[in-house]
Amino acid sequence: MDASPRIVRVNCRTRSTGSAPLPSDQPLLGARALTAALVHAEVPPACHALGPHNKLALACGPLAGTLASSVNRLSIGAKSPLTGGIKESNAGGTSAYLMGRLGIRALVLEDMPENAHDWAVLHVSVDGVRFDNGADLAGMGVYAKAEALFSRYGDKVGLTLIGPGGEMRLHAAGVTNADPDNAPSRFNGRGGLGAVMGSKGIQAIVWDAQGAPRAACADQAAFTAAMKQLAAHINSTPQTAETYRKYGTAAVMDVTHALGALPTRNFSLGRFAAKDSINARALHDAILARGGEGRISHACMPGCLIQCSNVFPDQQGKALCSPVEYENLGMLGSNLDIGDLDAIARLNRLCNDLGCDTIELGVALGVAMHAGALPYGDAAAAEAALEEIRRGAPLGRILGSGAGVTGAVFGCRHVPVVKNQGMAAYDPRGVKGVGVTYATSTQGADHTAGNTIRANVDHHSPDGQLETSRGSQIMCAVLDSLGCCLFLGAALGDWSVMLELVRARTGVSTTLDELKDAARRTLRLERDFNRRAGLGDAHDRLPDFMREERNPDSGQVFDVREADLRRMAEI
Amino acid sequence: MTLLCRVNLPWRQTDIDLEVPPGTDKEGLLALLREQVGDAEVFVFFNGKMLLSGQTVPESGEILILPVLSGG
Repeated sequence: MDASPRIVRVNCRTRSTGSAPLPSDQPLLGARALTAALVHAEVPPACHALGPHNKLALACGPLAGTLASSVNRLSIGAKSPLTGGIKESNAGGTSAYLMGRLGIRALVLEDMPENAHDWAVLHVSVDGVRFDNGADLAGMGVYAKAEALFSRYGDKVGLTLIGPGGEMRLHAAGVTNADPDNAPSRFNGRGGLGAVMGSKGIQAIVWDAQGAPRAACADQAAFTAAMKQLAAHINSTPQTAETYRKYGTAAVMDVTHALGALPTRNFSLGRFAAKDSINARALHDAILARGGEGRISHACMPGCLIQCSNVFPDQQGKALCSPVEYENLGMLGSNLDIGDLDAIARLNRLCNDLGCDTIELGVALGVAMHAGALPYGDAAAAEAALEEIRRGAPLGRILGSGAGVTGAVFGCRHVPVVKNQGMAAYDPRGVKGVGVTYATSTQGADHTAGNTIRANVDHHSPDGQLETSRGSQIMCAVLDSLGCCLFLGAALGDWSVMLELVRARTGVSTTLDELKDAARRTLRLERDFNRRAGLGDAHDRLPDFMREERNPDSGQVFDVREADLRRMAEI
Repeated sequence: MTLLCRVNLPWRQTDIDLEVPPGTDKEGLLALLREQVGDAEVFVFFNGKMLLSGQTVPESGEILILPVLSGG
């Protein structure tokens, strides 16, 4: 293994840098566990999220830099301007892989420039960290900015960048990463982390691993053997080999629809009449029929064999948006009463170009439509409203501030948020375990913090959901902290292959129980940060309308007792 | 009993009239559907409710087969 993975620190005011080895007694510390530890230890919980005391921590997992499948996700953590609590959001792309190659476990952006318009690009290479001028990039959309950066630095680098949303410090702004095709398509979307990066005056981080050695392993032969075994598991597991690979995450739409949990018209309904026009089958068939640059399957990070991503082409076969996933189809489609794949893909691309979270903007648009500020089903009106973000116009700034602010401005109480973060494409009345996760997660309403859709439980019953959500939250934290894709979990069986990969890479033997214990510690750190930031039991709940308004398609209200939700603190 | 079974997997969509012996549980039902479903892990819905492992198939209604996913 690399002698000592480093934690690199960058002061954005003084433009000085430094680095220190990862603590030798915690060789597995990485990704979400590391960003949580850094934020918990170093960020004053009550500080302003866009001020000098917040820090933006980017971290990869202990397997990053290798070509094992689905292990190169980039975690980004900070105090969230959207939730006011701790945030971790992870994404694919090439950034974490290149960090691993460079021997960097985490890069921490500290302080902020005195002049908010002092934009810089960080170039990270074997020679260290260099500040380059980034002023010329200001105002560019993500696609143009990425093209300019690849033109400047060459096509062998990776990129982590912000768009206009991040430059404007909008709370819906995310962080974008380039994928293996150099498309800026992988998003640390949630919680306003793009606004934090913008507050640090950093337009982009260029990961340049040219000249870096191949990622070393403590036992290379064993690692290679375990990689092959993992590939065999992925290729023999129907969920990863068949469903995700050919139909992507969109395949979950038929399931949420059947449960009456597909958000439709701002979470007023749970089934969408035009579902068959935008589900996995429709998406798959449209991509194949149009051909050209369209791809039903696409790896979002180096080495990934699941390949659940896609490239959606326009009518002429030219790439329109990559990827178009379930959350995009749900939040920009059914939630807005839009049943047209091309319209959804255009909205998706627009969000991407603005560098904003498709979920948060989808929820914000739904709230605006519910309030009558925009018409349901009008994709052109939705596009025009999103363009207001680029212009910095008032409606754009309202939507870009997230669903909570949008609801407040328009006097709407039908606002599907928890801790001010918009819900993903699972109505919690129809999948109550996800509702428990939304309510109790340290991250706000985030399905990736503990999705329970796969659990063998009655999703409409309040019974047993706490335990189901708790188990899922712990397993998600395990995978997040290894820098692994959550979808890998389906193919891991008894976890012996993953444990062998970790051992062969790091020299450290561990067990799944030990990894779960570490995940619990991470969750407790996150919870403690939130408590000190002022987020307590009163914030661990769903909005009133979810308890009071029966979703006509699931026939359910959210009826998990609040006293039960309190018990999540015992994690 | 004969029940309508809608197989709605992205790669296979078909409606079949399935002969289901009374008392059949979810696992038994999937064994009857092996030709249609193969090795795929699937959700079984019965009249809009998810049929769980060990639960018995009711005597009337409609079966819906969907793919299992960890999330999206």
